Amino acid sequence: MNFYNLLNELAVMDFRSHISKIIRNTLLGLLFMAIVSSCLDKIDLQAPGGISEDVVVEAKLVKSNPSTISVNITRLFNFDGFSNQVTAKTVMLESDDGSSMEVRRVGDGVYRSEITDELEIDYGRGYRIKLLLQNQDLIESDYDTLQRVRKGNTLTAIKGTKLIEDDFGDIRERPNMRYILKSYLTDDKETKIHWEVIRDFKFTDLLVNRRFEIIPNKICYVTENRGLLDIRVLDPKVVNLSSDLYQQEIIEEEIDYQYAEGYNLTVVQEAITEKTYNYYNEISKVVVRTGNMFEEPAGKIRSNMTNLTNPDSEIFGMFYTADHDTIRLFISREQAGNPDTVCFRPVPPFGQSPCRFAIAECCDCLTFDVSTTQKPAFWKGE
Amino acid sequence: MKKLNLLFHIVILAVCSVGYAEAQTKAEVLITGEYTNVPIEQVLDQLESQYDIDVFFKKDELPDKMLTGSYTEMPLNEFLSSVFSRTATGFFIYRDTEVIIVPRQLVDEVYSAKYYQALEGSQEEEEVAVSAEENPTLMVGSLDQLSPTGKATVTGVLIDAQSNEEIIGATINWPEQGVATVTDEFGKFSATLEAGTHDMVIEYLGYQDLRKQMNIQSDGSINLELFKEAVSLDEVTIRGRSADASVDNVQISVATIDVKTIKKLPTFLGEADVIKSLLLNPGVSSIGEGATGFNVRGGEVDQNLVLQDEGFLFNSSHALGFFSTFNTDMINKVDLYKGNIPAEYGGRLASVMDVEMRNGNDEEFDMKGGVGPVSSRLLIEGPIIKNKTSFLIGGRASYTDWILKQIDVLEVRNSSATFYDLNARINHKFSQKHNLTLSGYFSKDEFSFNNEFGFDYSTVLGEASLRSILTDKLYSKFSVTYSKYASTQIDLNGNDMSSLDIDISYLKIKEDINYDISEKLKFNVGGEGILYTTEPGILEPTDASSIIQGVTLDQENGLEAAVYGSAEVNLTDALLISAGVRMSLFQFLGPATIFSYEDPENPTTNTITGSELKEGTISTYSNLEPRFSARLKLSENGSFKAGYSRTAQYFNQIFNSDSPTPSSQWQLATPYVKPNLSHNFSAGYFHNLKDNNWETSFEVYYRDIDRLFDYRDFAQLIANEHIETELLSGIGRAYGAELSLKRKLGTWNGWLSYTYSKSERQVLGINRGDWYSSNFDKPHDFSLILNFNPNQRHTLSFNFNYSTGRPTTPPIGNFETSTGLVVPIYSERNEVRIPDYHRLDVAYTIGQGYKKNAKFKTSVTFSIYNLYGRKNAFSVFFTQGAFNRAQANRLAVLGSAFPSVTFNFEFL
Repeated sequence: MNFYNLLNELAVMDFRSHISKIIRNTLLGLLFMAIVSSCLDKIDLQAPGGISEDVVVEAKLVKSNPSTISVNITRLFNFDGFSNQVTAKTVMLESDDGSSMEVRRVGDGVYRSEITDELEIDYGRGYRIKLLLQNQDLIESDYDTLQRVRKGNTLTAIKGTKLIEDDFGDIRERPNMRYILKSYLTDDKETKIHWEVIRDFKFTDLLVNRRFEIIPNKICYVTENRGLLDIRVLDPKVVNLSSDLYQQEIIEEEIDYQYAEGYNLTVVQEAITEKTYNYYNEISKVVVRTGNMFEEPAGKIRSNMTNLTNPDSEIFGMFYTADHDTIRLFISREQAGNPDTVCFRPVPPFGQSPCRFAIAECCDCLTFDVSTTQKPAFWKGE
Repeated sequence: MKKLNLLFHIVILAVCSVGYAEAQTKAEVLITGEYTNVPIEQVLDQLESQYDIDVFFKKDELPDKMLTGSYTEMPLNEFLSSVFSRTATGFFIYRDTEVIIVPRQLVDEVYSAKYYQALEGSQEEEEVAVSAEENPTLMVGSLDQLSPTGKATVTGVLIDAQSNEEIIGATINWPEQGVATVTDEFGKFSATLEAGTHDMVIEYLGYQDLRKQMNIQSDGSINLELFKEAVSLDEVTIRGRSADASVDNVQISVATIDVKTIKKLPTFLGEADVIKSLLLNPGVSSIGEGATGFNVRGGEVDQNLVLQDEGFLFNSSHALGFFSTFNTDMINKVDLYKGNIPAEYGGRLASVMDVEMRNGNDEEFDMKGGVGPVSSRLLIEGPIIKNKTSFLIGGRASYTDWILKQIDVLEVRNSSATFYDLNARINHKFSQKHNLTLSGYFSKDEFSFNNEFGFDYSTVLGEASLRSILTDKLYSKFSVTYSKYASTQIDLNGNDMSSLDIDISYLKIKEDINYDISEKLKFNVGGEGILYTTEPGILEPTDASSIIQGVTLDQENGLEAAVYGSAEVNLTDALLISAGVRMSLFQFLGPATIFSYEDPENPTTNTITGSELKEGTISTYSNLEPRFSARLKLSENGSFKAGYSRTAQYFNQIFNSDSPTPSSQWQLATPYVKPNLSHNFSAGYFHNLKDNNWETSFEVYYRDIDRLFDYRDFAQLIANEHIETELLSGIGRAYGAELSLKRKLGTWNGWLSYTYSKSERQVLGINRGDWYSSNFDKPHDFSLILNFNPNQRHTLSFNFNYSTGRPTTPPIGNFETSTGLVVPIYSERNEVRIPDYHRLDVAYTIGQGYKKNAKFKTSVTFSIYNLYGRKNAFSVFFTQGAFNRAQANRLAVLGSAFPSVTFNFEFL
């Protein structure tokens, strides 16, 4: 039957007598198809790249005892490589009272000094950095005023469960830990708050002896900047609080192997200026993108640094001052509900290395990005 | 002797038609006689009696003279010349059989051969018509009223024979005369033709053709009726409002969408959609699937005036943009003015989408509806007082939730998306000349995602309009409209539990008067006033634990007023000009808090110097907006058109995302947010072929936007009390060429359109002040619609679209913070393009049965949207991939084929 004949046959068909059959066999089957599930996948689309000459300065003055200044100078890196450090001729820290000090070079593009008598670090005082690059470009930051952070902030953990959808689409309960941070906001509402969340966990890798027995080998302490993409800043002016105590769930996570030998959560609460607050806010808008139709467009992150020699040259990064309070909470294996370790090294076939068949970190826990066998001073567990 | 007034012409013609064959030549008659002081009237009576001559005259036109003289075998001509010498009276011998006595001036100057030929033809046709009882000739006017030029202007109203509803946009054609006219929004028409009997043809989609003879004897009016086709849904031909309207009309850049065509196009989830149909026209595009609204010739979504009768809508989308708010069963006609906007419209820069709703049937009850996979619709209409008052109620409702529950994604299962809308309309005819319409519209959308956030928005629109035909040439439309759009955005999660409310309402009063002096000269004047009230943002915490601090922005008020006038002048048969002007004025009214800045031309948050609560009129803007269009007919089937319009827009929707959200606020022009302005130029050649069955057109356009705004990077737009600090002022330009080819009738029919266009902006503070592409700049845009109609009942439709990917802003590098966070650095705005878009849809419609008298009729449409499952990118965004590489990610809103079936029914 050719196409025209088919259409002619359809033309004489009494539609109504067949409607129920059509509905039963065709319509309902179609309706159950996915309706609103959108589709997200990776594609090949070349980003332009090619701006690796611009300089990035990340610098931070922390009031402590002693206070420290750290400066990291790099170039932007495109998508074919990694960051290149930039060595400056001089890096100076200046106070708005006119005093200044040179920041010491401790590596390529890395400068760090403890601030002793040369400079007074006081709340309400402005500080800036000045860099002279090898090409004689003079880079200067705006003054950033040191804000005071309030101490006495507390961190508590609540163990519970959460419903999640597993890889097979089934709903199941998952043990989780919720961390609640109670923060005292600043006295001055112009001051903004920034939180950094770091976790450390103990991890023991394993060894298979000649008898194919699995035995503990070495202990590592692994550090991760938790929620790196989830930048947490707060402007006390735009929140509705009945008191100056601000409570938030700073993190929620599954209880997994990281809790198997001991776990420490550290929250660093920093008092920052509005410019720094905007800087973090802008970063948070560009590091996590979803492409949905209501998403705000990406933009260029504003820096508080200027190239005085060549004003057309863009400088990225930020110099800021911070006063901070460090809050820590240790969770033992028992407190976490005795979760299992992830390392069950299989016994390999004769003549083959067991590590071919195991998680790499279980063979050598120093494989973690930031890990050490030195027990941190703050570690409360064994 | 016969004493006649001008009615004598009827007799003349009767005599003419009967006596022509055997008549001797009167001019050859020889007159002999003696006259002594004989009155002229008596002389003429003697001529009739003695020589069997028919003499026609009006007594009061005869000279006050006595004839004295002796005549011997003097030819009639010479005799009459002698009789009327030295008088103001003349004569002539008509067709050598009758003598006509008239004032000499008329003989010499006015009474043309055409006049008499017309009279003759009219009489002959009249006699023929009398015998044709089944199709009697339509009589217009009276011969005694016929203009000396032999031409007559026919006016009237074309109505639906069943519902008595005026039919808009139908072509009335007198092919022998080469004259055609189109009924206006009142169903009125006007055409000037030569007197006589002519074939008349009226074609209108969904109605039986009306072919009649019309005997035109003088200026006059006549009401005409069209009957609906018995199998209207099976009508396979696409016959527009006018067979040659695309060539004849003076207006350039107008797309008229036929509702029947809309219903046969492939649909997304079975919902026929006016706006998606508009996208198939050249120069009309959208950001992507699921985006709200549409873009016309490089204009923003909020630069389109979307009219539903006289009221305009702020949000014409359901389900965040997947469907439009228009119920196609309610629509009479849709016109889209793409840049060359008539003077009666204003307030938007880019386009006017004029959706004309229809009235109910005032003779009999009718019910129709449709059932689709995600929504259903029902419409009921009928008389309240037969032939006088009708009602029409139509509604749609969605039921997507049951489908969402079937999807194996927890977040989707926990989501909800529903909408409904309701139209109600009462139409009352006080008389044939006065018509009152009361209409109401309500729509509501509710959307929530995974109990995390949601939108809830609604539109209310009420309208009363009185249409009056004051004289045959003068008619008016007075309307009062009130509308309110309200939206709530709800955050249901975490410490941010809050709601954001915005709304905008207006009261509009408009008077529009048309005065058709003649077929060659028509005027349109009017005025309107719109009072706006907006709540730009109320942000409130919705839970005691929420940290969101409530913000309530000041209510804003504004008054937009305009007067306009335009004239359409037919200078020659070929040259038709429409010129007009619109004078618009906008006042931003207090009370309102106005901030002051160090540099008022560049307001920023860091340069605020204070604020003040102001009352009364805070700022005033006015603009003179000329509108012009011309058509030069180069041949019977081809014309060149050009147009220019100046447009001003006094309020905008504030959004910097790809698509506005339902909660994007509407911002009136303030002392800092100035109105947007644009010059719009267009020109094109239009050519029809094969008896107007093929329509072709080629248009070029240029828009010079001399004031617009864009947004600073990371602009904070929600509940911002000094929104001007987030805006940057600039200019824009859009230009392009549009090609269209359409075949209206035939087994294979459809249309093809291609657009090449650019849309760019230049804003100080963005991209170093250089020109950059707007978000909706898509240089190549191609659409092909192909319909296969093997017979009247079945239609197979294909729809293919291709367009260049729109611009996006990619990262061009990274840096790493001390905490190890890799931060992307983005390029200048809109530097690269997302992948091109293409999609094929197919639909198969089995129309209503052939039984004309069936009380229950059904039709069904099978449709597959995105047949080959193309994953068209709505957007592309970049994430950090392995080795710090930028990984492009594509978000395809619709990533697969979407089949649907829609079942339509109608009870008569």
